[in-house]
Amino acid sequence: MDESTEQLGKQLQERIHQLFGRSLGIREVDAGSCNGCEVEVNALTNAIHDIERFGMHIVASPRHADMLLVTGAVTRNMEMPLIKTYRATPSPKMVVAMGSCAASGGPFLSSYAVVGPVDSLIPVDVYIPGCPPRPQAIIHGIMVALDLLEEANNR
Amino acid sequence: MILKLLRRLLGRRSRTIQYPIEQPIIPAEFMGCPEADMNRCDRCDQCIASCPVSALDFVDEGLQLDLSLCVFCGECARVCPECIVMSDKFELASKSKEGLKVVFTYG
Amino acid sequence: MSFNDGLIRKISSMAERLEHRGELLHVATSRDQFVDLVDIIHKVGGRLVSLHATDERATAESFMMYAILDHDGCLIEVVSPVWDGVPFQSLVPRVHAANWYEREIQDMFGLTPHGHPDPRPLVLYDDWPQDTFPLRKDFDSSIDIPRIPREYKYRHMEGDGVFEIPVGPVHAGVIEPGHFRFSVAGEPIMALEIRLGYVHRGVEKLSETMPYHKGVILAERISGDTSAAHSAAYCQSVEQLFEIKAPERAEYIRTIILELERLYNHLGDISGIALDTAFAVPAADGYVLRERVLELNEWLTGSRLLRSINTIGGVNKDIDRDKSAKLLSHLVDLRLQFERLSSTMMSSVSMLDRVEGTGILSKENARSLGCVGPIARASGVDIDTRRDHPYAAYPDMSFRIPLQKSGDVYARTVVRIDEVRESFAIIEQALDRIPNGSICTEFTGAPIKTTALSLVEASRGELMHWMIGEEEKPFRHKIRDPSFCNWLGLELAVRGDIVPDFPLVNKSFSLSYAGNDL
Ligand code: SF4
Ligand code: SF4
Ligand code: SF4
Repeated sequence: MDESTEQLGKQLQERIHQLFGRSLGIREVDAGSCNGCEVEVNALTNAIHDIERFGMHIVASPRHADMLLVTGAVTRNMEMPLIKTYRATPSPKMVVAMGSCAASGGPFLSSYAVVGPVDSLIPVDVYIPGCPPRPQAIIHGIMVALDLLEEANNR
Repeated sequence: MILKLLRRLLGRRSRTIQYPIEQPIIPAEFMGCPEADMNRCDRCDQCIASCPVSALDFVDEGLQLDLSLCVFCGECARVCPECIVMSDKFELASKSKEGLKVVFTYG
Repeated sequence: MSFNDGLIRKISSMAERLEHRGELLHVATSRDQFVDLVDIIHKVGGRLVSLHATDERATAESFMMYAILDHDGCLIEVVSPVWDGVPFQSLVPRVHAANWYEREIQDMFGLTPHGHPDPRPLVLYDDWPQDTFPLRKDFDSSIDIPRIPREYKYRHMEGDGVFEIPVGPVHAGVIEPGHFRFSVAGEPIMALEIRLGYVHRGVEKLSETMPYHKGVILAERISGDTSAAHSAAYCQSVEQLFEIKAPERAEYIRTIILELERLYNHLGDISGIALDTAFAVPAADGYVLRERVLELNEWLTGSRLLRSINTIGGVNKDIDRDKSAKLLSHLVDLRLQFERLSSTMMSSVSMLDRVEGTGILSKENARSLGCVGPIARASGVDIDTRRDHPYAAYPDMSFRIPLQKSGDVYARTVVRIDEVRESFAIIEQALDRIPNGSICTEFTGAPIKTTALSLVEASRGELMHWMIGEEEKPFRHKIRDPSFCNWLGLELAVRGDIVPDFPLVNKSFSLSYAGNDL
C-alpha cells in the first residue's frame, strides 16, 4: 500500500469519525425492489467487501440509523412505510437512493402500482445508478454522500 | 474441531477488496456506463428505440443518457456496436439528478 | 409419457373441445363443468400449476379462466368462460392450492369466487378502490387511483393466554417487506398469518405494454435473484408463440447460467441457515463462496445477476473455449471449498440440534398446497421440472434429484447441499458437451393464435410463464413464481415451533416477496 492510498484510508476513517462518532448506521429500506438490489446490499457485509472496516453498519431499526439506503421504485403499498421510516430516523439523516428504480422508477416507472421515485416522496441526498449497482458502486455512493469522494462526472 | 478451525482462520490472508483505496479488477465483459462515440453516429435513432427504459434521447449538443433511468442492459451497445460501448465505469453516484445526465457531444 | 386412457375418456365426456398441442392437452369446457373437471384431474394426482384469468371480452365476449395441471408428466390446460358480475364457483374447497390464485383473480379482474373460505384481497390494498381492476383491458394506467380506506381483517385466535405479535412490513434485516402476524401462547407459535403484496409493482400489466424484446429486461426484474430463470421462461414462451427455436449451443449456455444461478442462491441459503443457527464461521465462508460465484457470473457474462444474457431466440454472449476451460478450473476449486464447508456444517452437533425437527412441513401438506422446488423435495414430493418437463439442454444431462422425507430445516438444508453438487456436475457436463454453432436465431414471424406455456426449474422451484400473444407484445402474460406456491407452506411449517426459530425456518424456505407480489 503506498502513501497516498494509506492517506485516503485515514481520511475516510477520520471523516466518518467526525461526522458520526466512529460509526455510520445504515438502514436499508426496500420500497418495492425486485430484490436484485438486496443481493448487492447483502454482499456488502460479506468478507470480500466488508463495509464494517469503515465503521459502517447495517442496523436493524431506523432509530439507530444515520443513513437510509432506499431501493425500489416505491410501490403504492410501501409509500406509507417508507415515509414512516423516514420520520422515525433521527436527524441529521441522509437518504441514498440506490438503483435505477429508486432514482427514477426505472422499468416500473409507468406502472399503476408505483408512486415513486423516492425523491418525489422524501428528500434524497445521493443517487446511485445501477441495476443493481455493484458493491463498490454502493460504497462509492455512500462516500459521495459523506463528501469523501468526488462525483464521477467531475473527475 | 475448534483448534482446526482456528488454525485454518489464522493461516488465511485477508480476502477483502480494499476499495476505494484499491481499485477492483473489472472483468472485460462488465457492463458499466454506456459510452457513445458521436463522430461515427448517423442519427439513425436505433439506440433510442431499443432502450427499454427510454434513457437515451437526442438533445442539441448530442446524445443524452439519463443514468437515473439506465438499467445497464447493454441493448444500445448491441444494436450499435459502431458507436456505443459498455465501459467499465461504475462510480456514477451523484448528488443531483442533473449530475446523472451525460451528454455525448459531436466532434 | 402418455395420457391414461380412462382419464382421457372421462375428460372428453365433460369437454366441449379437446386438443393435443405438443406436450399440452388443451381442454375447453363449460363454466358448470370447470370445477368438476379440474377436481377429477386433481383427484388422480394432478397438481395445480396455475390458475389465472384473461380478459377476452373483445373477442370471446367473456373473461376466460385457465387452470394448468400437471398429471404424471402431462400438462393439461382447462379453460372455461367467466362472466362479469356472475360469481364463479370456487375451486378452493376441493383444491386447496387454488386459494391465492382465486384471490388474485378477484383483485385483478373483479371476478368473485363463490364459496371461497377467505375472500380477502391479496395484493391490492385496503385503500384500493373496489371497482378498479388493473388487469382488465379497459383499465387506464394513466389515471391517478384514489385511496379509499377499507379494512383488512386479520384472523384472530381466541384462547387463554394467546397473544398476537405483528411484525413488519419493514423488517430488521436486509430482506424484502412483508407482514407476519404470530399468535403465540407463551413461546410456541399457535398460528402464523402472512400478508404480502407490499412490493406489488404491476409487472403483468406492464408486460402487456412492453414489446417482446424489451419484455425480457422486465422479466429479469421480476425477482432479481431469479433473473436467469425468469428471462429463460419468458424467452421460451415467446419462442413458442413465434415458433422459433434457439440453437442448441444457446440451449447449453442457458443451462449453464441457470445452474450458476441455482449455485449462488443455494450457497446463500445454506450460509443463511448457518448464520441463523449462530454458526458464524461456516456462514462467513459460505457467503464468500457465494460472492465467488457472483464474481464468476460477472466475469462470464458481464452481470453478477446473470442479466442481459437470455434473449428471444437464444443468448447474447458466448462461452468460448478459453472461458470454458477457466470456468471449469474455477468450479473444481469452488467444489473443494464447498465440500469442506458442508462437512463442517453437517458434522456440528449444535447446528444439527437446531435444524432437526424444526419447521416441519408434512408431505400431505406440501402436496395439497402445491408446494414446489427444494421445499417440496425436502418433504418427499418428487418433482423437478428439469426432469419432468425438460427444456434447454436438460434432456442431454444426467443428474440426480435429491429427496428427503423429514420436511424440516435439516431436510431443506441437505436437499440444497445435494443440489449444489448436482449443479456443479451439470455445468461440467454442459461445458464438456457444448455443441458448436450459432448462439441466436432470428426473431421473426407472427405469433400463433393459441397459448404458450413455459416451465423452468428456478432455484426456488418450478416457475411458469404463460402467454397469449399479439403482433408486437403479449396480450396477456401470466407469471407464476415458485414462491407463490410455497408461502402458505411456511404458515403451516412454523406451527408449534417457538418464536426464536421463526427466522431459521423462514430462511430455510427462502421465499421471494417480489416474485410473489409481482
Ligand atoms: S434497480 Fe434494478 S436491481 Fe435494483 S430493484 Fe430496481 S430493477 Fe431491481
Ligand atoms: S448512436 Fe448508433 S444507434 Fe444511436 S443514433 Fe447514433 S448511429 Fe444510430
Ligand atoms: S444500457 Fe440499456 S438502459 Fe442503458 S441506455 Fe443502453 S439500452 Fe438504455
